[in-house]
Amino acid sequence: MTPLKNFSLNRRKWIQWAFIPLILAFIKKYFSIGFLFVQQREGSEDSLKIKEHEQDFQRVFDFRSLSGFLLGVPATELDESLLSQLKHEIDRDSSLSQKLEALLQELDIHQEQGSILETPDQLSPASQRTAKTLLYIWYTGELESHTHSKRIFYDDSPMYRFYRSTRPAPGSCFGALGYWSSPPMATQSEGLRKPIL
Amino acid sequence: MSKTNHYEKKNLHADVIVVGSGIAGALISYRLAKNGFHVICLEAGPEIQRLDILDNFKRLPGRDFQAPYVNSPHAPFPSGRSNDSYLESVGENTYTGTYIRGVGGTTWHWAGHSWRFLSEDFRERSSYGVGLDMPVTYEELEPYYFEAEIEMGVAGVSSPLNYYHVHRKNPYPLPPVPLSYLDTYVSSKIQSIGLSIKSAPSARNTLVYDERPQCCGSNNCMPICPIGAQYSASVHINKALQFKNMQLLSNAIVDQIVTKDHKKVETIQFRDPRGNAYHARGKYYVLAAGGIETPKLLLLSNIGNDQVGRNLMDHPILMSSFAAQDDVFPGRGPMVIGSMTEHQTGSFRQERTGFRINLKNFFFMQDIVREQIEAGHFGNRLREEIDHRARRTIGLEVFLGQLPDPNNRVSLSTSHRDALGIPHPRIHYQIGKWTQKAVKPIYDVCNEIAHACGHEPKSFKFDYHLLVPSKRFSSGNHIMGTTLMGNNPLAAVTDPDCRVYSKKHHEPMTNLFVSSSGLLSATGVNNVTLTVAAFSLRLAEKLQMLLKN
Repeated sequence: MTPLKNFSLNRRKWIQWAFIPLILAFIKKYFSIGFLFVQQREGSEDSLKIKEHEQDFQRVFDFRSLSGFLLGVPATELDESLLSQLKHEIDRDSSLSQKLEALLQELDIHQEQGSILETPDQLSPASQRTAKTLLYIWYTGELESHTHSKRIFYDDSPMYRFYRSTRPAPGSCFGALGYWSSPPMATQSEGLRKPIL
Repeated sequence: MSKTNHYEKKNLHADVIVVGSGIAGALISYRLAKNGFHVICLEAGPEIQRLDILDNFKRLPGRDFQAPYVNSPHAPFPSGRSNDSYLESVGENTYTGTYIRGVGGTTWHWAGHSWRFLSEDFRERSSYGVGLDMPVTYEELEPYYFEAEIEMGVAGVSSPLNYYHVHRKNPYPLPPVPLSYLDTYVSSKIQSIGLSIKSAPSARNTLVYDERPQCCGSNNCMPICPIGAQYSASVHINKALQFKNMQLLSNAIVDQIVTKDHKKVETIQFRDPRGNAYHARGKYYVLAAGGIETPKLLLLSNIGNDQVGRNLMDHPILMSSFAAQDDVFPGRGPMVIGSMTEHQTGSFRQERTGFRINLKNFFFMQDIVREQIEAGHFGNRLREEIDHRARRTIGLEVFLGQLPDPNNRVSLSTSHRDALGIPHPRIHYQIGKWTQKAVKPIYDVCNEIAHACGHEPKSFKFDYHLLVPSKRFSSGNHIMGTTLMGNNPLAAVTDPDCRVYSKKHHEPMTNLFVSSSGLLSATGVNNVTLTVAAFSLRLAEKLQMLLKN
C-alpha cells in the first residue's frame, strides 16, 4: 500500500518517495508470487502457514501506512519498536483489533476504487472513531478499553519525545535546581517542531 | 532497624502504641523513640518502595495518582475514581477525598506544600462570626510549626518574616523553590490586577538536606518524587527505626480498641491480612490514621461521644484553564510552585469562604492530545496544534474553605465490608452555601487573570461543578473535622490536648489520644499537612512529659 496522503515535499524527498512505491510493489509482488507457487505445489498445511504469515505481514504493513497517514509522518520513518509494540497490544484487544480490521478494509475499498484519502473525514463514522483511538494510542502510548488497559510505552511516547529537549517526561530528572526559571533555549525550541517518531 | 514480625508474638507491649504511620504517626513515633521510649507503630497497609511506585506509574494508563499504590484487600483506600467502591457516599455531593494506607501514608504523593494556617483560621468564630474557634491559638502553635519545618525541610521566603501573612519568629530552614518561567510570566501580567505569585512554602529540598538530594525538576511530585527530594513521612519512620526501641508492624490492621469502662484503654486488637488476631498493650495510645480511618476505628470500638465522625470538611477545588498569548512552557520543574494569596482572607469570610489560587505547572499532554484529536485534527496539523497548546496552556487550581456541619459525617457502612469483614466508611457530604458563594468571585478573578495573560479566545474554561447538586467535586484531599478538638466534651471529640472524650463520663479518657487532620475545626484555605505535623510534635512533647512523670 502506498502512502495515503499527498505530502508537500521538497525535491530530495520527492526522489526518496519515488523509490518507495517501486520497492513496496516489488516486495508485494515477490510475496504474492511465492504464495501462489507454494499453494499450487505443496497443498493445504504448508500453504496455510505461509498464508497466515503473509496476512500478518500485510496487516502490519497496512497498519504502518495508516499510522504514517494519521501522524503526518512518512510511514517508513516510524519507529519499528513502537510500531510492533503497539500492534502487538492492539491485537490482544479483540474489540479494538476488529475495529482496526474494519478500518483497514474500508481503506482497501478506497484504494481499489482509486480514490485518494485526503482526511479521515472521508471515512465512515465508526472508522473515524477508530482512527481517533489509534491516534490517541500512538501519541500517549496508552491503550484503554473495557477489557484491556495498559500503558504500552512511557518515555518513548511521541507526546514526550516531541518535547524531550525542553521538558522531562514526568518522572525523569531534567537538570539542576532552578533550570525551570528560564525558557528553553532557542535551538531546543526549534526542536519542538521536528517529529521524532 | 528494629522491625518485628508480628506473626511471632500474640501480645506486644510498649510505652506508646501508635496507630498509623503517616505524617502524624511518623513524627510522634520518631520523637518518642529518639527520647528512649518504646514505641510500636501499627500500620494497616504495606511497606512502600519508591522505585516500585515510579515503575507502576509508568506502566499504568492515565494520570491516576492513586493507582500506582497497592490497594490491599485487607487495608483498602479510596481510589478517587468515579467507580470507587470504598467510600460509600450519600448526601448532596459525592465525597471524592483520597488517601493512602501504607507505611508513610499520603505524604508519598502530595505537592509538598507546607503552609501554616493563618492566625484568624484558629479563631474563625471570633473573627467572622461563623464556624468554630480552635482551642489552641496560632501563637501557641508557632514553635511547633517551626519544629515541623525543620523536621520536614521546608523551603520558603524568609524575608520579610511575615511574607506569607503569618508572623514567623525564625527563617525557613531552606531557601525558597525558584519560580518557574511560567510563574514569572503570569506574575508580570497580573500585577495590573493587584495579584502576585509567591513561591509556596514547600517540603522540597532546595539544598541537600537531611541526607536527601536537591530537587531535579522531574515534574512528578505526584504520584511520587523519584529521588526523595520531596519530603514524605517515610523519612521519619526510617529515622525512628534506627532506634532499637521502635517497632513498626506493617499490614497490621487495628479493628478494636478495648477500654475499661470507657475511662482507659486496656489494649488494642489488630489483625494480620489472614484475619489472625493479636494485641498490643501500652501506657498510652495515639490514633493517627487520618481523618476518615481514625473516626472509623473509634466508631468500630464504640468509643467517644456522638461527635465522632461529624463535621467532615475539605478544601473543595475549582479548576480553570486557558491558553496564553505567548509560550510559557508549563511542565518544567515541580508540579505546583507559585500561588496567589491575595484572596484568602478578609471580612468577606462573614459571608463566604476565601480562596487561594495555585498556578499548576503540569505537563497537560494527555488532555491536550485528547482535545486536539477530538477537534478532528490529524497529521501535521495535529502535531502543530498539540505543540501550540503544550507551550501555552495555563492551569489554575483554586482552593476553597468549608464550615463545620454536623450532618457532614463519617459513619460505618451497613452494606460494604473489606476482606477482614470491617465495615467501609459511609460518608454524608454537602459542600454548603458559604463555600458555594465564592464561586462567582472566583470565576471573575480567573477570567481577569486570563485576560491579563492575553488568552486566546474560546480557550478559557471554568468548572462550575460546585454549584451543581449531586455532582462530584474535586477534593483537595485535606480531610478535616471528623475528630474535632475543643473545650466542650459534648461538642468536640478530643480535648485541647488531643485526648478523646469519654462516651460515658464527659471527660477525657486518660490514655487515648488522636493526632490527625480530623482535629481541625476550621479549614482556612491552606494545605493541612504542616499544621498536622505541628500538632503532632506538640502531642509528642505532651506524651514525653506524661511518660517521664
